[in-house]
Amino acid sequence: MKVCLLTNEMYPFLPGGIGRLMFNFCEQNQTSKTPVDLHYLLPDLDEAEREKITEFYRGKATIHFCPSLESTDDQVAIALSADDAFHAEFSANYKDSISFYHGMLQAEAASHGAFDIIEVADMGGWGQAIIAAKRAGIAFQDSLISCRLHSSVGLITEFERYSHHPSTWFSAKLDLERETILGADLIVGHVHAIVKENARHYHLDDQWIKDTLVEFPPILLDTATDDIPDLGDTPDFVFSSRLQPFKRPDIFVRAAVLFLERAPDYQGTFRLLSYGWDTKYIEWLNSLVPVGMRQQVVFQTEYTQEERNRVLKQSVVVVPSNYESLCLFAYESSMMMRPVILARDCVAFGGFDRWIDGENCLQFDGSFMDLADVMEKAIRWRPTSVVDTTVDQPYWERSEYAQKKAVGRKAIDPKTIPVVYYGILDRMQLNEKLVRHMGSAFAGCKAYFLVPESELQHRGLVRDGLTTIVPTSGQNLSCSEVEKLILSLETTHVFLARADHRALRSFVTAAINALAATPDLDLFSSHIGNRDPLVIDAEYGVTLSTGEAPGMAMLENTVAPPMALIASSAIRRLKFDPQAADYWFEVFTRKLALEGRRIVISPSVLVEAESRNNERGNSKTLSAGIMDDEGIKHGLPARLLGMDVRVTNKEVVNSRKIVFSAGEFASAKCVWPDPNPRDFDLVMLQQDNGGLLTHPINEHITIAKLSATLPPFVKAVELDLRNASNQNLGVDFGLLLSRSELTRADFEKISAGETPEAAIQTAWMTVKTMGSEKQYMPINSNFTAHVYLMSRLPEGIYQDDYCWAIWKNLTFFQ
Amino acid sequence: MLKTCEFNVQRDLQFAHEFEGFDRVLHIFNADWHGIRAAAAYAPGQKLAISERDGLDGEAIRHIFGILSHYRIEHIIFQGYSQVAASLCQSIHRQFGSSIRINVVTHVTSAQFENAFEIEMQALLLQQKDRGLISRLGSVKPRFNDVIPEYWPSTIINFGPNLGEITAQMQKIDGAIFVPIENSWRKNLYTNMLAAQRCTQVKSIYAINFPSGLEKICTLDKLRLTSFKHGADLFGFMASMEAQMNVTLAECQPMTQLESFAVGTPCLTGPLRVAEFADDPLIALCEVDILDSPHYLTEALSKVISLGRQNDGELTGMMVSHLEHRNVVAALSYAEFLGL
Repeated sequence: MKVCLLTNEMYPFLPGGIGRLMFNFCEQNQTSKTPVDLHYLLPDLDEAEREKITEFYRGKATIHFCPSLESTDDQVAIALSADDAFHAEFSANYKDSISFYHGMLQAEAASHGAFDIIEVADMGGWGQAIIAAKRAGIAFQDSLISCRLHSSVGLITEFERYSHHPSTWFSAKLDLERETILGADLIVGHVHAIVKENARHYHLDDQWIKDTLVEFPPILLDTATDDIPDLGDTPDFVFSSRLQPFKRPDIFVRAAVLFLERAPDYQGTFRLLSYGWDTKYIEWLNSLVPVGMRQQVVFQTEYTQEERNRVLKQSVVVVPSNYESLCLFAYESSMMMRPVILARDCVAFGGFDRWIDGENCLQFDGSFMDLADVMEKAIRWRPTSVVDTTVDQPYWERSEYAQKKAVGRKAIDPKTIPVVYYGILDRMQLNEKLVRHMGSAFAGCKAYFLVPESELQHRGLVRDGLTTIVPTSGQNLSCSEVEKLILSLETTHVFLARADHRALRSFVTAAINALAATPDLDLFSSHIGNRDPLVIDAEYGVTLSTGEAPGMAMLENTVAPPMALIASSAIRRLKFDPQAADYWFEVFTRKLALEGRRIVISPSVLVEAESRNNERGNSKTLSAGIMDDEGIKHGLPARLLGMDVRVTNKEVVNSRKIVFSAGEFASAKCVWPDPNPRDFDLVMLQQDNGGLLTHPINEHITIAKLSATLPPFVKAVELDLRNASNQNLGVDFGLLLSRSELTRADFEKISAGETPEAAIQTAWMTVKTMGSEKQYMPINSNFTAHVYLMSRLPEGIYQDDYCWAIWKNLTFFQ
Repeated sequence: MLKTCEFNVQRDLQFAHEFEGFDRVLHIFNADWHGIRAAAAYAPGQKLAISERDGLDGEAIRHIFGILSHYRIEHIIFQGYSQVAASLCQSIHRQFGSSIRINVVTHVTSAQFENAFEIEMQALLLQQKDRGLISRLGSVKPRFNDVIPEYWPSTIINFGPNLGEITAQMQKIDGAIFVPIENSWRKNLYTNMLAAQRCTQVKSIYAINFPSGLEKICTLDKLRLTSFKHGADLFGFMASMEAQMNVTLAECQPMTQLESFAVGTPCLTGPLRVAEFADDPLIALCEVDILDSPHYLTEALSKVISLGRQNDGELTGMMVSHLEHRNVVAALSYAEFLGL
């Protein structure tokens, strides 16, 4: 049995409760009678740390690390690493999920085959992309993907209600966690009460609770228990959880203050041996301590592990948290035979029968007044037993779980699903769509092309074999016509394809796999690669599709691209809303996500958009309409139309960048000097030097012509230039755009320092020493231009050895 | 950025024909030579694009060996030739010996020998054939064995793209034609442009390259420069045209014509004289005999546009039947060449 656990913490190197559990699982596996082949997948760490961790676990477990995103060959990962993925706040969170996805693919490859079990954490939604890849049928088909309930940010934020600034960042984070918990093949919890708590929070039913596996994990103590001192008559009290609202340090401080108000002569100390990130919150906690008590209620943020252990051994341990999923700290304290005071309203304590009030712990009702009372009691009270830490056999040692992994797929013939193309503006585009369709994976499907009737050469419906051209009314298509056509087809699903989006060949296979694995699937698609249709190699980043994420659906038009497999029943149920004008598809998908329907988004790009921008437009009125509708639907008396929440609220201007790089440079020709007086090529693509060489020579300007032309209306250019040798005295670069091809006479003019007619020439730019330089220059061209790249020796320089003038790339802005 | 080699990528498979017996045939071609790549892409068989820019390192060659073994390749066809191809040919021969037959199909005419590279490649091919590395040399230029007698005497016929039967649905833009040629002596851009400009049925001439200086002696008010296109964008664009002009001074079997036919647009060329289509009325209609006088090109252009406007489907029918015939002849020519 091969098992891989995914974690961002790893004891003793990367601190945290999850990391400690990971270590404990490894120790447990070492002593097990039925050990498994245990692997861990950790984040992308630096080499030194990788070596330390690998060495520490050598012989016990195999440690894998995520690759850096930019080192992968994946468009989504690269866009995320370059901050070129929209929506920014979603991508900030999704980055981790994609990183673990690629890490898991590499771990599989490195360990020669699929893992039987992949376990992810609920925290951060790191497992979301792994789960989506399995659902889309593109990876992990032979693995059971389980999710362990630690503490999701989702639950924590519910338990610290008034502490967070609202932001789309939260929507993204909480949605990704939710998808991970809802999407995993198996859920594993430590405590039944916490499983129920998750079910309540995420609105999951009794069956989900029943299907969830509850098993108690190994808890180990790494400090000696034989030197534990007697606490004496006036023991200290310690709070040693993080200074964070749901850990309730305020309850501890207020209880200490009340205790000291009642017993001013008490000799013991109340320590907060802890740390936190929110300085404002910590200042507020400090302000709760009256000046006169500051010697006895002490905040200590700097300490060593040994110091902490020593304090814990000498103190009554207080854990006032109102939410914990397990709390190793409480168990470890009990195992050290310390009196432990726990909040009864935290279900991991009050709802778990291993914690017995008055026997292995003392419990209080969650209020500081009760805690002060219980603290008084704790002075003389000593536990009569240690909390029960009997460990359950882990599920990965039990064959019945590994057998659950196979995806039950029902074979579906893609040819039974029609494809509907819409948004076609004119004949030329229709022809392109017809051709593209024939060469696409949709080729065997029935295809419908909706085109404004006025644009058609032959009026009326044209049916030819599997393809039908459907004339539509007016210039601007109404979604009602699309809806009517789809419903008339009477198929269970349809591929809906807007003309400015294209499916890659593997799209259909992935869609069919997703549908076969998830029969109640309502929508399948992928993230979107943006590409300029006119310029080869001009890519404009990735637009992330947020899929099922309901919070994102409230705020943004990014649920799915208008190139998707959609269940006809969803269209029948929700309808396309003509009131949403040009955004009817976006509104439809947002409503679909908010309904909680099954949407699968492949984590790799299977759809491309003809777009020069990765952002997607939105408006406040649109988002306000969506939110208000949700409020009314869920019976909220307050109308959400009154809420002025922040949304992207962007009209995306399609500002256009045109990039010329190696692709365009490959076919550059040396046009001057003619003939070339030297015995070597003056112009050539030099990948090693990072671009196109235009080698200037003494008494001549070297001019290269690109075969590609530049579209009109360019406003500026950014030149990325390089002097690639330290053995020259500098090189000059110049760019010339010309309406017509230059002639010999023109080149002679340029050599004499003049600009030919109907041409635009930049000033000469000198790169004096070896290295790269970027130059930004305004240019105003209103014509389709031939592009000439020029180089010469700087004034007063006559030595032309090693004059390696390299053009790395040119970015034109329209 | 182009990878060192690309095996069976979408652009080389999506418009390919399928014929039985070609599973173990591998076409190898230069990724950047558009015309030859298109000829290989539409033919049946497996496809490998290699890069001339960086050469092939050991890792790439091992990867190619893996492909040959995995797909149990028995016949290789190098489409076009280069130093990189020659060194790959040698490596394959060394590794697989006579278990893989290596053949080469060239796409050059003797008119192009002014470019020294072309002659060097022919010399290299003859050398390698002499040494037993290459089994057979074939050409898409009719009677190329008159140029080099070692060539297979028959002509290899190029396939058109496999777009299915969509010609009837293509929507033409009135009076629009496309001149996709570059501005070089061989390609004859000026004559094509003058002929199109003077054709009364033509309203817009779409071109990739500007006929520099021509504006000084005549009006070019119909000219619309358009960007370089490829794949479906190019086909869709071609499909929207009433006609296309590729009347060049020297040519073998231009792919642009076959692509044009496949999307229902007639395309004029110079005399190609492919014996297999000697009686084909479409070819008679599209081949212009006198190449350096716009008058004859205008005449031919006017004729095909008029025929297309008849709306009786005659021209479309001619293109459909030409391609049907051509693709079968092409499959037979390859099968015979390879001895399948």
